[in-house]
Amino acid sequence: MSKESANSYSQIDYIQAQIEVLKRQRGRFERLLIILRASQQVLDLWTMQYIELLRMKRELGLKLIPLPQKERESLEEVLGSKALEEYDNLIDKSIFQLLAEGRVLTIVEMEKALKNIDALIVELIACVNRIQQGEKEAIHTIRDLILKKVVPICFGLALIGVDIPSQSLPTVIGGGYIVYRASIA
Amino acid sequence: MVVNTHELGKTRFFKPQMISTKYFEPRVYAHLREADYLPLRTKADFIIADTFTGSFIAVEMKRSARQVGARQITSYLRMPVKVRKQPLENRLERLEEQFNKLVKSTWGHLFSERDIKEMRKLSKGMLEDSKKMRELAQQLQEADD
Repeated sequence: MSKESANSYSQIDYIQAQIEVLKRQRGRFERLLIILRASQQVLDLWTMQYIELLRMKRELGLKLIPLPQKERESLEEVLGSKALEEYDNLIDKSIFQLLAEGRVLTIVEMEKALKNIDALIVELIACVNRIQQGEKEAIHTIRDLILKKVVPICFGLALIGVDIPSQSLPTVIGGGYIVYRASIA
Repeated sequence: MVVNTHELGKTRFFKPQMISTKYFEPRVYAHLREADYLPLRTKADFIIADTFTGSFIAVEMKRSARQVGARQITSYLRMPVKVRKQPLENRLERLEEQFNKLVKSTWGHLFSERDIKEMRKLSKGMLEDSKKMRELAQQLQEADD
């Protein structure tokens, strides 16, 4: 087998493994939303107060959702230190967008993200098929998808994963919003 | 905050508390005695203000031979005193504390023990697989280089 073919095969392996993990993550995200959906009214109450808080923080020029040290360390272990450097930009940008619209993400919108993730999985599988049929350009397409969509989705889910045990609803919403925005990118 | 509309210099600041409708503090009686000597009766005897929100209510005292009463006046008043507004940072701290207490206190009521247990399991899985996703993305990057 040529080096090029071997390389392609190993890339396909990584991509297929990535698809399987993404499927599992999608299932977990769906399960979480089912649990949260039952409490939508109370979540609405929280989010109105939360919007007020965020507006004040923005007025004072503070970080909108600073990560506590323990959660920061967990996230760094999972995603690496570089991801943390990008964290402030990514989450502030996401939340600014919501604030500008005067709202916080709803469960319904996060459920839309599920459908988008399903479409992403289909697209990734189609790309893998194209690579297996010898279409080299498909590798670039799939790498692009992974960079622009899969990695931020992974980031958003990691953020949710880190914050559920500490009952930090704001960062769960922030993580959910990152997943949502990445899925429609 | 209670503003004595007859003598503004005697404005006092109080912690929020229940005001008993049965018994008045001696200074209320002192105020009423002073008010008796004024040539004109003022509309409001006391103004009770919330310096946090800036809202206030105006109270008129009524006295007869055997009792003292108070009623809230609904008409608009111009207040000659400045409402002390807390700095934004203090308001933020208070709001954040209130919000965190609200979330913590309702979390247990919002979700059953089973839900909380499941969410913890989900979060553990999310973290483990997020790590896996990152590693696979890195390996893909290296395979291409």
